[in-house]
Amino acid sequence: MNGYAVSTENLGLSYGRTPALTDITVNLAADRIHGLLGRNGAGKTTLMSVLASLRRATRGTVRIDGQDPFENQSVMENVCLIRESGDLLVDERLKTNLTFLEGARPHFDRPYAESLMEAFRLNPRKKPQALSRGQASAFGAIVGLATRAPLTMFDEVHLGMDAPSRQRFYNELLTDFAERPRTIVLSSHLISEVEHMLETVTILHEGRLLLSGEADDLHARGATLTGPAATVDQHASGLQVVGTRNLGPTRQVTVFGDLDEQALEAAEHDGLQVGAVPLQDLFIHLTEPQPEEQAS
Amino acid sequence: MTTTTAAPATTRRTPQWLSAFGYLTGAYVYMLTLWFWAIVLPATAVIIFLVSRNVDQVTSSGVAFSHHGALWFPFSIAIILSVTYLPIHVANGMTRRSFTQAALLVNVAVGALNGVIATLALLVEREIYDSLGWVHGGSDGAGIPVFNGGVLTYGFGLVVLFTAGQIAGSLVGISYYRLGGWLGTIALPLSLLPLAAVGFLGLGRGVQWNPWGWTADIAPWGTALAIAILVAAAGVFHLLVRDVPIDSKKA
Repeated sequence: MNGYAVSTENLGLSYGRTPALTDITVNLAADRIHGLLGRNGAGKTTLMSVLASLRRATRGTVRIDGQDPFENQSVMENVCLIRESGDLLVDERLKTNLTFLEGARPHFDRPYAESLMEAFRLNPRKKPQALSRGQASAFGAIVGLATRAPLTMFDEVHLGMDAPSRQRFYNELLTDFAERPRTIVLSSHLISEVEHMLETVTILHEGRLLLSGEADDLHARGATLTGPAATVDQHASGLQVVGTRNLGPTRQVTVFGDLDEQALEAAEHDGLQVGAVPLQDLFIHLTEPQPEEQAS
Repeated sequence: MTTTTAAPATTRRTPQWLSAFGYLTGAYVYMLTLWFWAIVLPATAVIIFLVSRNVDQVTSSGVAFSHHGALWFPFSIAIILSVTYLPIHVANGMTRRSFTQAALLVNVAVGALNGVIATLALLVEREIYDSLGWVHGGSDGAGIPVFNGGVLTYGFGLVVLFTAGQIAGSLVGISYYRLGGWLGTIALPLSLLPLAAVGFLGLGRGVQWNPWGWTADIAPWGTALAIAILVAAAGVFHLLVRDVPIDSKKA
């Protein structure tokens, strides 16, 4: 099985007169794990809905595996979007839902789904409406993994899941991805939890594409300086600080922008730890309303 | 960490519309149609028995009254089908076109099944009535035998009527799903048109039961026109479904 490549060009979608997506041009390579980030209302779910053919774009083009996915049977059945709403037969037991999915999804692996249900302690005789929020999310994650679709998208699949369940999901995702590479799109507000898995990052902001690129390149667009507060302040002076954390006398600042290698070496020479910029700090900084935006 | 399993075969064997039809017939035919008759027929028998204890002679079919239930219950289920199953169908990777095919096929299958069961129940009832010396008349109280126009004609009429109810229900459901509350309500005269067409034009007064007997028999070409309207309604259903946006809040 090979993953699907995804590309959009000048993609636009409006809800009535309200634009939800404007001129989105992205390329997501096959067989990689892509992060789709954005604040609430940024357009992440709308973009994934278009990729999953739940909505038709108002403008622009979408190509999945080189084809227009809308009402394209061979593409649609191999694109899986796991949404918060679950998209399950709520009046049927979970095992009946698995039977339904076997009929709907050509790659669906029922034994794998059942083994995951056991791992997540989900009773197959229960109905979706009887599940807690976390259990419902876990079942969504199971469906996404066991569907083994060449393009699988998880939209805030972690909601309600406790930390051990989330960790189990991340582990399962990485293990299964290593054995059966495919294209994964992860949308999550828990950036610090998922950033180690992401190979590329796409950030949407207010319906527009803010950036899309390799995760490593983004990490290189800044640095963290950790050490005694006074020394950190001395080396951070003149740099664009986008995040600060204090732990007693120790301070960590996140600086953003083109950094001078010599300055970083000098910081290390003075005993500071220099690390990669956390994606979450970068995300917050990039999507923070600018003063002129706030004023308007 | 769970144990991973070998990947299953990766090619689809069953067309999407057939998978959906299989699920829907399992759910709707078994759970709703057969259970409906399993409840209605014994209840009808009890009611007829009670009535017969209090009148000299029974002159109306009891089963004929259940036609209302066999029409409006699946009608309401067809509305639910469009509103609740469609988003699940599409969100799980199946095309809207396959939903249309499966839904219309289910409409016809359930309509036909209800028509056949109702007709067979009437035949059994007629035998019982005849043996007891009762009059197996229609539910309009006119005293004309239910099968006055022929069993096959009556059965065909019921199949068309029940199918029309299903298609009208599907149209009502997709109209509300696609257009929202206000426009869906405004569109009701159009979405109910298939049912009205069959009711007004397709069934003859005194020959078969129908809810609008006072307007029946106005045109001999009525049945053909009613069926043509059903076909057109199926086309409209397809047009409304083919690019309908699937929202998560409606799922």
